[in-house]
Amino acid sequence: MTKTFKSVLAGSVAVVAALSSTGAYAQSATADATATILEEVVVTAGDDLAFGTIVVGATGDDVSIAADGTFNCGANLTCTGTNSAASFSVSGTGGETVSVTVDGSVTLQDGANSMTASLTGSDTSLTLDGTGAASFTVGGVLTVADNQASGDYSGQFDVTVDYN
Amino acid sequence: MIRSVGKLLFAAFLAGAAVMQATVPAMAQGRGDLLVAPTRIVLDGKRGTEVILNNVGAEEATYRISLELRRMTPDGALAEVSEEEVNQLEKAALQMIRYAPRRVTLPPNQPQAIRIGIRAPAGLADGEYRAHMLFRAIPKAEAITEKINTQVEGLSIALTPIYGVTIPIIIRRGRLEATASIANGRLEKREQGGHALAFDMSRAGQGSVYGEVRVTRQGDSEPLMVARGIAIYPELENRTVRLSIPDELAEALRSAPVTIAFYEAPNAGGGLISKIDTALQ
Repeated sequence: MTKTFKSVLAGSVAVVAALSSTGAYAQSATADATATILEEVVVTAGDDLAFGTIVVGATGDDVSIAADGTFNCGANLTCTGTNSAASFSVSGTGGETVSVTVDGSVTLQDGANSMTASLTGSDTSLTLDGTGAASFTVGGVLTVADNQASGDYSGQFDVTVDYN
Repeated sequence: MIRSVGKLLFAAFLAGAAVMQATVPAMAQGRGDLLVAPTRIVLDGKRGTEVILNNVGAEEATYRISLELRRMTPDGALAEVSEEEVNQLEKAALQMIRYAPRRVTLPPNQPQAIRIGIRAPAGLADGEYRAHMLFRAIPKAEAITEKINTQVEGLSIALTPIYGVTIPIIIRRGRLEATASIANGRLEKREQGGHALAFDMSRAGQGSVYGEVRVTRQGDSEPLMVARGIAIYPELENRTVRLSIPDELAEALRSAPVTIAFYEAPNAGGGLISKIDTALQ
């Protein structure tokens, strides 16, 4: 812990302060203190990727949610309930450029039954604004097969914010 | 060194957490929200360091920490490397990076230091070794009772994102020289609407190049835009950098000749790497 300041950056930073072992109990102004300021990133999730509830018939079709939230229910299906694109917020240092990696598809399963949805992120690269904020969304196209079995389908997909 | 300092850092970090939280804007808090600092690790000869992971969500969450291999693509994305593709350099990077803990359960606003140590094998060849550390929450299994209650005619769908952050861990051995130059600055229309400032970057040498881009109207002292964290890794010789910009900025960049300059990061000296004078179309 010899470096006083590793880097000082505008915007959002984490402050990690440590007193040396000799200074830990000292209250005087001679206490030996150092601080390292680290660049940080915070990633938070907002809306889920929700296709709502879908009533199926003999013929399958697609249900899509564009990354901008535009919803489209195939003519052979009836869609109810709320739908949304998944949303994420990134907070860090202003002007920072980061990449976003999203799985290309996700498999949804209910026991032995399954469906596949393709996924698309709104951005592959983000530049955090002056306050260090940025957001992105993930939409998808769900392919419902002919006579798709009713049930509660669930699946997981990976999203990463990648720093250089 | 890692042991004792780690404890102190950790204890003191609790005090700092309140300050830091104030900078996080109010957002919908999801299970698994996370803070990671720092966002880049370069070890030149140093044997270790640590990374802070903090649960900034409203609920307890379990996080997994792992190492991944990524390669930069010519558009600047970091693509995962499949097992069959792993080369000697990448294998060596995975073998020499030690870290702990690899799984941690944290209550809200509880930071945890992840210790990273490097153990280079004897006779390790000079070069730049790199892996990407992935931090992400493990989703909780849905309660079975919840599932029974949602019995409906038709299909109900629950999609859970497993989201996280990757940061590079770069280990440099020996004297590595690298240079980069930029060319062909241009404005592009984005498919999704809006504009992007694009330019090509080329690299030569054994190491990566990392820094920030400043675009300044010729004659002005303050840049119109600054983009930090731009890299070109050793697996690439050429890449395109494409930065989304608001329409007003595109207008301003078009209005007069500009200088596009690429500088080293401030903590690496901040020197000029390359610049071009151009009129953006």
